[in-house]
Amino acid sequence: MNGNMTSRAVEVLLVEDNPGDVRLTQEALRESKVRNRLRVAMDGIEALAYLRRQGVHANAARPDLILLDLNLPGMDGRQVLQEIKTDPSLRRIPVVVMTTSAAEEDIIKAYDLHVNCYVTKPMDFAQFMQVVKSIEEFWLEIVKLPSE
Amino acid sequence: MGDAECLNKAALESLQKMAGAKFAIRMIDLFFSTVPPKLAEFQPALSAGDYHQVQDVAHFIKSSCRNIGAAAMQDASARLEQAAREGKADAIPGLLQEMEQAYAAVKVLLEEERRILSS
Repeated sequence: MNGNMTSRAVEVLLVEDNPGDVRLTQEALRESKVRNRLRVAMDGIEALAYLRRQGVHANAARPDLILLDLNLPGMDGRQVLQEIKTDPSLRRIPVVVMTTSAAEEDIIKAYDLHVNCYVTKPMDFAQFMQVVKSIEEFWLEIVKLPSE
Repeated sequence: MGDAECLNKAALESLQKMAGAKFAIRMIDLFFSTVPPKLAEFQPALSAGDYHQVQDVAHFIKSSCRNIGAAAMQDASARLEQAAREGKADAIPGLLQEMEQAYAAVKVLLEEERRILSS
């Protein structure tokens, strides 16, 4: 288990515009073994404002993990990923792209932008739960992350 | 179009099995509260010639349909998203009509599923 995460809830930022997908992720993380706090940004602009603690997000907690959809209104997930991975204060936060797109160009583009991993959302909710659980186990329990 | 083509009941069964009937009902309610307003966004976007917006709305609806098993509507929205991405203006009105018909059909089936889940 990550030593720096044993005493506090793990902060997860979900960047997702579809309320149904938000609800499914909340439900999947609710079953988590790791105590977590899920924050939701409904678009890319809000996600970056949250990460940079701007405006109403001045007191936002730094996420330990970002779950990022690619198709977002306005600034899309690819642009958000680029912003995160070129910002020295944000680039170490692991970003998991969770999307319905299995297009090779999207996968290549995401890795070119230094995504930490790319996951295609499964159709079935049971499989979706399993995927979220696997992400959570790997990123929140197995890997060692920097504190900042 | 048959009921099984409109609604893949396995999706709702999976939601119910993994998270309970109340959660499945909440997902149906969420579908009804979010999808009709999105359907209403198509005509203004088309009138403005904003295919990017048509693509975004179709993508949103596709995800909502996937979560609930609205298979025919999901398929129509996927094709609409593709047509908008490729700027195939001639194909869009027919796909919109197909999507609205698929919504009308799945609405009846989801209301029935909701009634069963509530009982």
